[in-house]
Parts: sequence; structure tokens; C-alpha cells
Amino acid sequence: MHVLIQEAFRQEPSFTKFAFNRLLEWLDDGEDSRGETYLDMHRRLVTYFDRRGRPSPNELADETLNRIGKTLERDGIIETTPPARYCYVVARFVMLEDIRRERRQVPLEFEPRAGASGMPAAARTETGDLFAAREQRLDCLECCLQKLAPDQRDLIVEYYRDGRGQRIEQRRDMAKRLGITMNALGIRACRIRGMLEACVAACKKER
Amino acid sequence: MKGLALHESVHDSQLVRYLLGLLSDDEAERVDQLSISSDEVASRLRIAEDDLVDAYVRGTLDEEAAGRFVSFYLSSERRRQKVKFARTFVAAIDQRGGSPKSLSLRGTTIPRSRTAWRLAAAAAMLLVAGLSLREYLRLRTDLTVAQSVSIGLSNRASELERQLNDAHLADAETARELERTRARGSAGASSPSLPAIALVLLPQTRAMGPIATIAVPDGAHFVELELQLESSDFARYQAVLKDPGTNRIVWRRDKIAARAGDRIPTVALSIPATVLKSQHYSLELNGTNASGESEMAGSYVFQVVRR
Repeated sequence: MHVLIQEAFRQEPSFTKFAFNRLLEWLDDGEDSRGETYLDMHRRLVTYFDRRGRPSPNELADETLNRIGKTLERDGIIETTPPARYCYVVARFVMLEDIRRERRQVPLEFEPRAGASGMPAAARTETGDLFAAREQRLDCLECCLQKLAPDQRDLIVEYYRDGRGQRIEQRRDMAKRLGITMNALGIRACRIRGMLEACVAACKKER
Repeated sequence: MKGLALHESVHDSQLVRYLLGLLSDDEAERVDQLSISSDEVASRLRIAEDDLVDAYVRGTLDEEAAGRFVSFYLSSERRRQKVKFARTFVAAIDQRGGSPKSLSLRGTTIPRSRTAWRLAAAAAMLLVAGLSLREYLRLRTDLTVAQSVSIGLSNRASELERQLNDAHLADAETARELERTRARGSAGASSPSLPAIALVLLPQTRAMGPIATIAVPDGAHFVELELQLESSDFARYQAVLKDPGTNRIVWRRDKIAARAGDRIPTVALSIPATVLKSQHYSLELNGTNASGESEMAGSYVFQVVRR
């Protein structure tokens, strides 16, 4: 538990809409992505902090972008290009500070981490609660799948189906048929999967 | 965001080893950096991660990889959630045996018509968001007077993501429905918190006209300007704001893309209010052509009045 981190973020002054707009523009670097670049960078940062074992990756990603937004608000310009490179530099500082903060504080409670010493939740025997949770996920996924456009649904089913050793060939054929590169196909499939994942998470919260 | 230089290339097998925590510290740090600063590595890492998770869920990882997956990858709550989602997702995909036309988890689809979905999505977007992201992002360039509005840090990304997901999940027909609803003057489509005032600057001509004046109240953070172009001949523009009295550059912005607009191409600028005083300003717009050469694309004059 890292209560101090949460407290520190609560004490941060609020971020204005105009600073946020400036941050969106800077991240876009001349292209109008309609917020996509911001979300992509936020996702990258969350993944980075998570992989480095930080317990609050979302908050650290917010903190990173918040600092950049404040720099832009104060100075009007950031000379380092491309913006993504600067994001990494700031993220690294934010992570080092977070590690230092963690070392200074005593954990309030022992929170065992799944892994070598314990089986992950997904691998445990399915109790009634877990069964209910899985049913809920199924309901939500069904609902979210119905919201996809038919061509999006076709794409992810074909892309992620069990290739039984033929997966790369299948995807290559698919990319050829669609007239795009394998990488572009992968990005498209990942985006749709990400949308589904977010939709399922939101659906679970609502229920 | 940009791609990566050749010397920065990363092999797919390295990405998998990175995801399983098998790289040395130096190698891992290099991939860390590229996973943020390189579009290509970021997307390939995402693809590799989804494939790795699916392989674990389908039980096709070899013993060593499966062991690392459990001991390293599953040590984070976020990643455990990814695996939970993948279990449901992969089951749904595999149950269909790769037949996309009939994708449904229990063999029956929810009886909802497409039209009902579209209308529901349109109504939800109007009611819940009040304003779609697209509309919001369009309107933000029309603001002239900055108004401080707090945005909760922790909700910012998730709210934006939610709105974008709504926009993605609603198809083109939904968007048209939304436009029709707005056109009918839906009260929900306008937000009182967003001033609908625009300061549009026209390029200077020989004929002297009145100078555009903008009132900037104390506490304003940014001044948003929309510069009309005579033509859109350049891929990128550079804006230079000068104090005409001293010819000193007070602010500059590079790599700006023009927007097509309805009829007239424009360039949108967001100038920090802190650099503006009560005086006249000249704004030069330079275009950069395909070969990287810069030439004057227009000049604008306006007056600032601080309040």
C-alpha cells in the first residue's frame, strides 16, 4: 500500500482544460489525432510503469503527462523532439522518484503478490464467486461484441483464432487480402481488442 | 509520434523475452525507452503481448515460458486482468471455430436491431457526454478567452478513452444520427461551459481595415486564434509572434498542420496568455514545402487588451 503516493497526487493543483488542450496539441506534433495520440501515450506509460513493477501505474502515467502539461503551460514550448522521447525522459524521473518514495515509507499491511509463492487468481479452483464473475464477463463481452461493426468483428475473429501452427501464414494471407501490411493489420486488431477490453471493464463496473 | 532508426531495431523474440522478464537490465531499459518513444516498437510490443497472453490461455507455451509467465508476467494486477479478459475472449473466438459471421458466446445473439443500437448509442453520447469528443475537440479551437476548468487527474484518461470508445463503437450511421440530432437543435449538444466565441484573423491586405482586438482577462491561460489562409499550399506551417515595436520574437510554434475547414483552410494556434501584453502584435505564418524550404504564407495583425 502506498498511501503517501495517493496523498501526494490528491494535493497536486488541478490541471486546467487549456493546459490539457495544449498538451494534446504538443503530443499530436502537427497532426490532429483527436485525442488518440494522448490515449496511446497514456497507455504506453501505464504499461511501462506496470512492467517496472510500480504499484500505481495509472497515477504515475497521469503524473508524467501532468508535469509535461505544466511545463508547456509555463514555458509555451518544449524543445526536445519528438514528444514521445521527452515523455520517456519525464517518465523515468517520475519512476525514480516513486521508487525513492516507496523506500522511505513502511508498508501499512503485507500484501502478498501472486507469482512464485502463490498461484494467480485465474488458476485457482473456481469458487461460486469466480464462476459468477466469469459469467458476468461473458455477458459483458457478448454485449460489447454486438456493438462492433460487422467488419471489425470479422477481423478480430479471424486474426485471433487458434491458428494451430499456421497463425503467421493466416495473418499474412489476411493482410494481403485487405491490402495492408502485417504490422498495420496487427495494430488494427490490437485496437479493436483494446476497445473490447475497455468496454468489458466499463460494463463490469456498471453492473 | 515517430518511428525508430535502424540501429534501434528490436527483434520479436526480444520483445517476448522482455515481456517475460528475461532480458538483462541494459537490454530491458533499451526496450523500455523504445516502447514509449517508438511507434513501431510500441505497436509490435502490444501485438506480441496479446499473442503471448493468448498462447498462455490456450496452453501452447512451452514449460519454461509458461513458468516465467506465471512467476513474472502474472505478478501485476493489470496483467492478471488482461489474462482474465483473454480467457473469455479466446473462448469466444475458439468456440466459433473461426467463423466470424456467427460470433456469439452462447449460440444466441441479443435481439437488438442495428437501428436501435444506433439510436441508443447516439442518445447515450448526447446524454452522458453532453458533447462528443469530436465536437469538443473542434470547439476548443474556437475559444478566445481562456476559462479555467479543473479536470480531475485520475479521470482524465479514462473519460477520454470512454468517449473515444463510444465514438469508435458507434458506426458511421450513428455519427450521422448524431449530426441530425444536433441539427435539430438538441439542447444537450451545447455546453454552457465552452464559450462559442472565435477570434478569426484574416490575412493582411493592402486595404487597411480595423485591427482585430482581443480582450484577455487576468487568469486566462491561453488565447486561441484561427488564422484563415488564402490557400493551403504547404504541409506544415510555422507561426512567429512578434512585437512590431522592437521586432522581437515573443512566441513561436513549429510544425503546425492546416485544417481544411468547410471552404477556407485555416491554422489553429494556442498562445500562452502569459506572453501577451496590452499592445499590437504581428503574426507571421511561414509555410514549409516538401523539400523543407520555408516561405511566407501570410501575415496577421491584432491588438491585445489585458483586463
